[in-house]
Amino acid sequence: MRDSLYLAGQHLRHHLVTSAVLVASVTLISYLPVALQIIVTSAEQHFRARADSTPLVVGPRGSSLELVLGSVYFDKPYTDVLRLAELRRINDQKLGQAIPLHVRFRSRDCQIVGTNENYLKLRQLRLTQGTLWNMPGECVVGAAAADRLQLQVGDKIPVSTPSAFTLNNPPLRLRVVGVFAPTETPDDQVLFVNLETTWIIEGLGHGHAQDAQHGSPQARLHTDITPDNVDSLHFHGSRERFPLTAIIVIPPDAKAETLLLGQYLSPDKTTHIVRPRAVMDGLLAKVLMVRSYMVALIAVVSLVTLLTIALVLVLSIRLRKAEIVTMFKLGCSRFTIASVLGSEIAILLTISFASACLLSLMTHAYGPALVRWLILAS
Amino acid sequence: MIELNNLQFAYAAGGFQLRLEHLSIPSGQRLGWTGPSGSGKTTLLHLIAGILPPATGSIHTCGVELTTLREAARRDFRIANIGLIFQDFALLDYLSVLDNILLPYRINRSLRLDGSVRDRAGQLAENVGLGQLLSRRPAQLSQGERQRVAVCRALLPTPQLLLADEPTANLDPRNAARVLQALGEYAQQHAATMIVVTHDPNLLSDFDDTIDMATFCDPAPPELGEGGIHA
Repeated sequence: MRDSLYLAGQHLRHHLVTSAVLVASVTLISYLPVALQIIVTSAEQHFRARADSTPLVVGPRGSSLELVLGSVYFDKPYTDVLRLAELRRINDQKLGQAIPLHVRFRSRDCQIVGTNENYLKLRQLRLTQGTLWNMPGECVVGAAAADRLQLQVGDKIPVSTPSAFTLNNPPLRLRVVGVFAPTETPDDQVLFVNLETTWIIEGLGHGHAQDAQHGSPQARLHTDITPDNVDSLHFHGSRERFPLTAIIVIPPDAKAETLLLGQYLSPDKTTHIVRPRAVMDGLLAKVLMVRSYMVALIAVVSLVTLLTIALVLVLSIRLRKAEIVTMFKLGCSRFTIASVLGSEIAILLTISFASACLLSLMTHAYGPALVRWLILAS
Repeated sequence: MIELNNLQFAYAAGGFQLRLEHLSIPSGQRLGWTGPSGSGKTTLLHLIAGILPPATGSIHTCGVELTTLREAARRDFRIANIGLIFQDFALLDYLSVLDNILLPYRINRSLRLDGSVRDRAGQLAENVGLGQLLSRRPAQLSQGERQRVAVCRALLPTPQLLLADEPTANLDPRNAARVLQALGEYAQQHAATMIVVTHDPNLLSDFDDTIDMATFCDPAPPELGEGGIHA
């Protein structure tokens, strides 16, 4: 057996390119279904974990999926709004803790998330630098955003949307007062501010010299909100009508949850309530269906590849007829000849499966991080 | 001593048939076989080597009656007692010179590959001028060097009988002489019998005796019949 393995090894080494192509083919067709399973499962767990930690979300009537993607994953700015009165109504009913979210604006490709400290508690966000905001115009940056934008405490970052606070002057600049520790969630990618800051960006509040009239030259002075000019800050209109993009609700028990869900059943309501877990289950069911198609496709490709490899091996044996005849004439048995040829196939398969196992282990170890990176980077 | 009696052989596909009443070759004889293509030279070598079994008759080689042996026993006998050399060298292109010489020891468990065998392989290669080429592949060798590798492979198990099928057909006269010299020296040192098929009349003087194979077999008889040759 050792001699058969030796001869097989010499033959494979002599035909290195052919052997490498065969190994790569078998490795890929073995590894791909496993990798797909690991990656999809990791993505599924990633999405489910975030949805599971967000019991209910109230938002303007429309697509449930868009509401969840916009308010739970900060996937994109949510354009429709509901009013602050809705938050107060939920709080007044004492059916759960209501956490406001305002996610409409960006600063250098980062979403600006307006919220309050209850959100930070819900997501267990921990500061690694600085403090939380003390006044409008201050922001706390997620870890990945701080890394990507090279931000640290004391830096200033302009809002991409021009603000009425500056009355057609250069856009409002947010001052970084803190940086959160990494959580490997969408929270790492965003800038957190208080709700007043988002309303200022909306144009509902602004500041100018105390004695200046709106539109006067003195009113154009402020591009930053500082302790010196914060007192000039004032809002116009009824706060009850100030916008939010979503409200996360944490009901204390199933009964409160049921009551809350019941309140939004009427088709006349301009708002609706969703369970992120249920929405993501629906989305993931479609992903799993796609995965099934992919697995079927890979199975067909694998079968064709295996048949091609078998054909290559058969043709290779035919090409080696003279060699086989020589070995037979010298005194080699058919069993030994078969053993040499079988050893070649065994070596190829062993290297291929070992490579596939190694790749699978690496995917298992680094796949979840890769998935998080891909999801968060997209 | 090689003795063949009442030998009859025909290929399953038909066509060529060989018929031989008696042939006796004394031990240690260096025999040259000549004859036109298709006269049965290679077939007879294969019968003597036990590669092909005859339809009838007996083949007594190196003290063993080959026709009584099963295929596995014939293989073991062949690899230990008969050195085969082919016209096309029949080297394995993916093995080095050394591994080609050692091949008989890797393909049959009746031969044991150890350090002394490796040393002997190296010495054989050295004797025929291949000492510096042991790690090369056959594709990197000249025709003459390849045939010398084939000779070393045949001689390594120290066979009692050498069967060479036109070993010089693809070689220039200088290399042909060198190959025959190596075979002849081995046969003389080990009192081995040597049968060399050749078309080259210039080489016949190197042998103790010659046989013209044209007298051995019927060109294309419809059936195996009476007659044959008594050598």
